[in-house]
Amino acid sequence: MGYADSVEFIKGNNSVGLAHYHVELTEAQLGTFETLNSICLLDNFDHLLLFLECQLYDGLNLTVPPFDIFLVLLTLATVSDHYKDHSTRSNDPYNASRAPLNKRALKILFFYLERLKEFDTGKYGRYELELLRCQLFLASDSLSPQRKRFDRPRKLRKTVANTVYSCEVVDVGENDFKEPYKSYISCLGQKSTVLGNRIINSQLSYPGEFINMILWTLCNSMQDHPALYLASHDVWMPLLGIILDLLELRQDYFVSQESQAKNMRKAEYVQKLSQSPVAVFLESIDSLQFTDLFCEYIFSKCDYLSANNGREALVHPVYHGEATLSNTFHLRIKYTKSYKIQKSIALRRKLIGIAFKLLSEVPSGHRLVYPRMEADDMINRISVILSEFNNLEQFRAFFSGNPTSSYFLPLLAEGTLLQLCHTYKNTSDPLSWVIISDLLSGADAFLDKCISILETGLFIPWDNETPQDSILDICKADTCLLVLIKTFVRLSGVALGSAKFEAMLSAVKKVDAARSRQACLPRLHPLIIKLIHS
Amino acid sequence: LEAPSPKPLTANRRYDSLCAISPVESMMRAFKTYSDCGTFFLKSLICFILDRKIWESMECDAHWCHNILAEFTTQQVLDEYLMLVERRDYFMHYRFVRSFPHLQLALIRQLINPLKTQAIMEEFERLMEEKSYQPLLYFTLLVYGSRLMPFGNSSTTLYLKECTEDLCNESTNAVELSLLRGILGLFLKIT
Repeated sequence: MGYADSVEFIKGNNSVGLAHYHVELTEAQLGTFETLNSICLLDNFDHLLLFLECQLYDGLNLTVPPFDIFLVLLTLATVSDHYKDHSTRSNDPYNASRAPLNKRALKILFFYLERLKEFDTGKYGRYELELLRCQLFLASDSLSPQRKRFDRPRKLRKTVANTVYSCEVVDVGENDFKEPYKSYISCLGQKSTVLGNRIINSQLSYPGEFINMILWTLCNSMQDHPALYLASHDVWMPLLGIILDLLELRQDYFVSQESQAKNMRKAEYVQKLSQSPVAVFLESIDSLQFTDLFCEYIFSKCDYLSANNGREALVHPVYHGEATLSNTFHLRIKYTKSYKIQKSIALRRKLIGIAFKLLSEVPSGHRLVYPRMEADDMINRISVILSEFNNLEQFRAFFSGNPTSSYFLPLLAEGTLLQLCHTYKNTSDPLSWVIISDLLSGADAFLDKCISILETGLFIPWDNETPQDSILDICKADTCLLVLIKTFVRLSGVALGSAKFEAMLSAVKKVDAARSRQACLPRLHPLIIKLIHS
Repeated sequence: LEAPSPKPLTANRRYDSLCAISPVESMMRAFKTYSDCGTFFLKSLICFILDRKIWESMECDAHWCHNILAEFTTQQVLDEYLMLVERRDYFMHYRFVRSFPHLQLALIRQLINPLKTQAIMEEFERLMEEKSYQPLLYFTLLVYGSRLMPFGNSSTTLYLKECTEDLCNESTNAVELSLLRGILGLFLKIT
């Protein structure tokens, strides 16, 4: 039984305004909550972390911190010494563990997130795990942008040249959090900052701040500037990763427990989905022109043809000073370009995965209204952008994910391949192959499609005067084809020795032979053979 | 910051910058590919994990450390570790135990003989008499949480806390003692 299915201790649907996943406290748990609460109010972050660290590995007893401490830990994770060296040193001058507070906080958060994901009732008590889920979800729900929680001005104001985020100060954050327990008062009422940084949920609840945080992370994730890169790599990339993981878990819980899909008609279910955590999260981007804006954000600062179309998102640091290195900070790690690309693109893929997670729940024949998105639109738009990529390394990094675990990758590989084919043939015919659905209808049909696409001429240098110009597109097409074949091999290993497969391989060999004059193009055949045997 | 050069050894010959480390995640991935190289691998791995820059990183956590050691027996790991570290280097032992929490009791068994709470208390008293306050601090962090020194309210912990307070009052201004007092107070509260 996974994290979304265990419902022994939860409140369930209730009329008293408690969350569905709400779990009541035992006296012992209340004791732990209060101890952590008082340590936190003293600003003794070393003790706070030590208290949790020394109990992280005790196989039988899971120490569950309350939701407010999770929010404090998330905020502490933003206090990186690359810009806050002075504050962290003065908070903990001796530093017995010799590790910075923010990294210790992150390790603790990773630990609890993993325990929730594995939900191993053989290792820990079911009550503790459900309580942990409750605390993490309370934290996650207070972080995520909420729809129409306040009558606030529209988040985005567009000018001709730029997208500008309005920064009107609306007094939100501190007072809107409803205490979920009568017996436990969170420390958030008395504590608004952690070492000078405002508690993360109230910081991100300012209009436009949540989206700014995502863009700030993505825009700096391939930076050359060391301080900006560290702000992304050491702070926001791991934090956004945690926030997205929590959101996914929260969505699973919503779908399997809160939505009650079994008892309603499909149209009703689609409406219900619009209230799901992921839908509300995505809607904070924009509900009307969702797909275009989402794709533009996801690929911000990537190198593709129509990038930025004249407008550029203005981003600002989430916390003051993040973009300046402390005087005493010495950077010792060299981040290479390709490392940056891998990490950055993986995060973007994760965000796309979140959107597809929602889309995959929509029954066929129905469409979501809020946010206004459809799977085909999304695939087309992303495929167009990918087919326009100028940077091959970024392109390959995008498709380097595991195509069987992120099921949207083959769909995007197919879409991109078709898009490249259109550019090559200079047509705008409606997309004519649907390779993936053929894969479901039979291996032979899939292999036929592969052969026909190999024979189009897209895969051999087609620009005879300046063959260099076609090489980028050919390399991209190679990548897509390999992703499709990899998916095929993983899903239906049976057809490998078949006559059709051999026919496909001989089409590949023909392509390779035609490439022999171009030393810079890789041979496809050995790559496919390697793929089969991996 | 110097402009990146395509030929780092020529452009950047200063010792320290050649030593600049790679992203921890990349090094961890590289280590993983050598995991079948026997005890030399084990030695390098222990040095790697206990290196301060790796220890303080967010990527190298107990889960990874546990998995990569799965091939080796507890005895192999401890033998190799104790060839690298002095037996009384409690500072390092503490770091080792935080990286490999499942080896806590096994390590204490190697260090304390007989494996009894009494023997641990004797070591406490010895360190106090020697005024070795820094080792005392890390020794405390090392042994607590094991079967012999459980967290929570106990006469042993109360006694240790009293001893520490007495020493604090004796006008020593060692910062480790006041830290120790705080930490013992914290351990009393863990239930």
